[in-house]
Amino acid sequence: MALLKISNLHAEIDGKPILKGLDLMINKGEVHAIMGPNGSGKSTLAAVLTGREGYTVTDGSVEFNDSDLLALSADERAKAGIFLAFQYPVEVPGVSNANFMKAAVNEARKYRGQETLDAFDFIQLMKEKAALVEMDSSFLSRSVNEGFSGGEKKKNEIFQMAMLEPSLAILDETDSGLDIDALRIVSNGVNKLRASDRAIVVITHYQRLLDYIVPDFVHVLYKGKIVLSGTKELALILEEKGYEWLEGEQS
Amino acid sequence: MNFAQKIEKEFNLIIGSSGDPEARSVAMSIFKKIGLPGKKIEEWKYTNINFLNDFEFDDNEKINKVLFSEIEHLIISKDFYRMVFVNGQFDKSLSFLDNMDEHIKLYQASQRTFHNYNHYPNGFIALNESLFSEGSFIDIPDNTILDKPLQILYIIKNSENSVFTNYKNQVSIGKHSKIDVIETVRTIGNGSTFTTIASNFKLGESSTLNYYNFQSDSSKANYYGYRSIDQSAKSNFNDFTISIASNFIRNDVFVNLLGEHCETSLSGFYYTLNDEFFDNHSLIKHAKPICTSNETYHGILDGASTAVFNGKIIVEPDAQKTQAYQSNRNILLSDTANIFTKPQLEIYADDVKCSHGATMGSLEKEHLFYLCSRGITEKMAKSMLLMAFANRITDKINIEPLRSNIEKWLSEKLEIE
Ligand SMILES: Nc1ncnc2c1ncn2[C@@H]1O[C@H](COP(=O)(O)OP(=O)(O)OP(=O)(O)O)[C@@H](O)[C@H]1O
Ligand SMILES: [Mg+2]
Repeated sequence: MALLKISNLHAEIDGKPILKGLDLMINKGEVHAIMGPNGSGKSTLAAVLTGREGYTVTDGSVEFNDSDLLALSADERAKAGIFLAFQYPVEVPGVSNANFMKAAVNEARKYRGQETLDAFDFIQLMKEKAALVEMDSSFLSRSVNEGFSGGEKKKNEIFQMAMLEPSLAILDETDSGLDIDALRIVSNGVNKLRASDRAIVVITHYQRLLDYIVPDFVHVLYKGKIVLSGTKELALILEEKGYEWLEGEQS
Repeated sequence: MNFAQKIEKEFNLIIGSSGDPEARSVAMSIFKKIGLPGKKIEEWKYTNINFLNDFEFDDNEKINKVLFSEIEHLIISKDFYRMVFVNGQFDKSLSFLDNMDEHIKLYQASQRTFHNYNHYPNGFIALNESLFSEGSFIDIPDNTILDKPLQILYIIKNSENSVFTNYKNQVSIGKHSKIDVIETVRTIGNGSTFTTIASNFKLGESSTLNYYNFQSDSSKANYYGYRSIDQSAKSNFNDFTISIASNFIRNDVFVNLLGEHCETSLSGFYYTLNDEFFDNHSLIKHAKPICTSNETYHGILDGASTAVFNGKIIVEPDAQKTQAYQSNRNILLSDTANIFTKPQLEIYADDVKCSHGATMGSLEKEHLFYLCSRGITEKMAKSMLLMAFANRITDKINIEPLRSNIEKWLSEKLEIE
């Protein structure tokens, strides 16, 4: 059984078609990389999968664990196990990282019929997960992303992923804005989160990230469709040849 | 008996019995001349006082005794000094003054002659001056730090009938002295109430006044509050006005910075629902150089409610090196809610730093989505964001039991588990 099955997905924003018949299948335990030129629809795909407002699906279907993902609200999708590390994480003034994660973790636990965590267990859990991305625990009491540097925001996204233990994590350009050390730290964190019951989708422009997080499959998203899929070697070809040659290949 | 008849009756009762009859008569004649504040006056353009038309007073309504158990939940901390007034009268048995008299001089306002106003900013103040039944006259000597906050509780107990009460306070704070005052007005009963409280503060050199006005009253409660603050050099005034329930609230805060190096901060939070009307007017007059004023008001509006923010800052020619900042931010949760916000800066000095800004809008969709994308329901996400917005103001409250009390009220209203 596929974890995620996207068939012939068409989606538009403000009447403008962006995704134009996208197919993708992901199984548990796999790591997929999605590459593709600017504006090709990678973040749009992530937005449609996570239930962001303003996107209209005009055709196609998305099944997650064999049920209709598109019928769920954003929070239900998260509780069902979908996580997005945002390309541009927003700052939420006044809501502390700790309170935010406490609400999120406990909502998920309630949804799964588990008991909510008490304050002590929760703090232990946060410290443990923060250590995974070498995030100082002082960040936990700060407002979500407020005043965080670009790289710190990206670390915070992976920290949240570790807290929420999703079955499908989509990392949208998590490598952009990271310095060399941070890239290694964040990648190590992600690798530690690889698991047989979890799939990870990394959206990236750079082969460099894929040296750290080695994907099982690489896809090219071009003009709203997956036009080419392969193994990790495909990323090397793209690095060398760019995307223009795909124009000819497509038909 | 309607409102006008009630005024007449109260005046005749009080004129010979308490306070200074001369001052009361003068104030009444001025009130008769200027009348109730209305839409003709620029500062009252949006302020509708029609609720007074529905008032019905019963001649025979007697002042009910209030039991301690009825007010216990309103007490921020039993440890704090407490003055309790019930339907216009001081209630000694409900109050807790402990050894406060050792620090300060305290008189009942009805037994003192006050300084008279040079000028009445509006009819309510003239009315208050002619009719006030009670209040406190607090004199804090130099070098006196009041060890605990003073909570002043104004209780109105009625049945179905209307109650109209007026209080006048005068507080003078000596050099290097400090006092925290918490004001709470609360109705126990089902009738309409209108309460006016006029307070005049004089802050001596290097003194500090922290004033917390926690306005959470019944849906038939109406309030007019006037605070005038004269600050001497190096004094510090911090005002918090937290308005979360009432039918009508109008706050007028007038600050005069009369010495150098003064600091003033006015912080407000209001949450209006249904057809509530809350109005915050302030005027900060920078008369002397090197003073700083900071004004931050946050509001959440729902239902068909209305809020008004009007912050006027005057920087006089002498007041060089003034810093004056003002901001008013509003979140509208419904299409039928109204916000009228107006900053007014009049700057007559050249070496000053001033800024002001007002915003209004709904909750940020981006913020909501971010929270929801982590599994938090939309309802809960909204509550969290609204609470965060309110906390920007309440976080600055330094009295821990008061802050947690207010935050508890807020979280109940904003539906956070
Ligand atoms: N709100 C919007 N209104 C109109 N067009 C939009 C809107 N949001 C996105 N688009 C367009 O949709 C297209 C796909 O955008 P998307 O963000 O998915 O690209 P991407 O593949 O993630 O690009 P990048 O690599 O630069 O992040 C772009 O052409 C973009 O301009
Ligand atoms: Mg993108």
